[in-house]
Amino acid sequence: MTLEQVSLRVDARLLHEIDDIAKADFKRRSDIIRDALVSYIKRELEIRQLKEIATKQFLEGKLGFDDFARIVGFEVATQIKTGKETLEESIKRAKSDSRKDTKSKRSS
Amino acid sequence: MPSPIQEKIPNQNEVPETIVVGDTSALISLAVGGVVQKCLKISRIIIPGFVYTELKDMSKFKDSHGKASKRTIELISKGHIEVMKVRNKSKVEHLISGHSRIDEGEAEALVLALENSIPIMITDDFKSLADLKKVSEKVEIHLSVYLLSRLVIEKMVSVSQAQSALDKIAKGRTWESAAIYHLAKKYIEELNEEK
Repeated sequence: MTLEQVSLRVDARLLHEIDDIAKADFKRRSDIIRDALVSYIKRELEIRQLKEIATKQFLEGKLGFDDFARIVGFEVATQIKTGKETLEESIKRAKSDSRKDTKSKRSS
Repeated sequence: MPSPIQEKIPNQNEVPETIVVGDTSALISLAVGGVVQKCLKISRIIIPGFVYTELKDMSKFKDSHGKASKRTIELISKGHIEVMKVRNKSKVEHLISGHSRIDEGEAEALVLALENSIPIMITDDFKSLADLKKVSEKVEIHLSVYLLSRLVIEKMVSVSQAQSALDKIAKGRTWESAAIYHLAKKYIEELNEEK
């Protein structure tokens, strides 16, 4: 694993807290920041995975909208619900327009 | 290059009966999926001036969306995708200021469709879908999947080609949008079973 160097600015009080934790754990400041980043990314990925599972369940009709909204948030839930409805309308319209086109091509 | 923006829908001979207005997201989807040219055989695609500007801006990027924009611009310069001027700019402004999720490209696309009695607007911007549907009046708001499904029904692409296009489209989108494209793959499969 290659390590890349990054520089970042943090609030002085937060840095002080990082140093306190580092001192208590006999670690370096950079180790604490790295550990914090790893656990944040891990948690975010887990949350996203959970949201994706909930979305799949909702789209398959196995999870109700209210429960779905509790997991992914109301805004995202509404976005996915509208997306699904529009998708279904688009396919329905495609079927009907294709039939019309075929009929008019036959008659001409 | 002369501006391709037109004031009125030109009459064309030998053109498909269907006309849709597209926004940037829908055009990018169809281009990423590699099906735009086939779509033009079943439908005229018209875009407003602002969408043309957005495509030109995006074409500067080297990612998949940038390349897709470049291919779309080529089709515009050949006159295959038509660019039209929106007359009612104040309606565009009104839509943008009244709905935070509707951007200028989407607003222009909707107003263009309304002004020219074009019954369908296609967009793949899932964030603005709900707001667009509230204000679309007689215009139906559909996803780019509308044209992709027609290509499958009219046997211009196979189910597996359409599904592969949807995979490519989903790749560059957020996980929320990708979930809808994955569902679309299932519905496309069902189109095949209905034949």
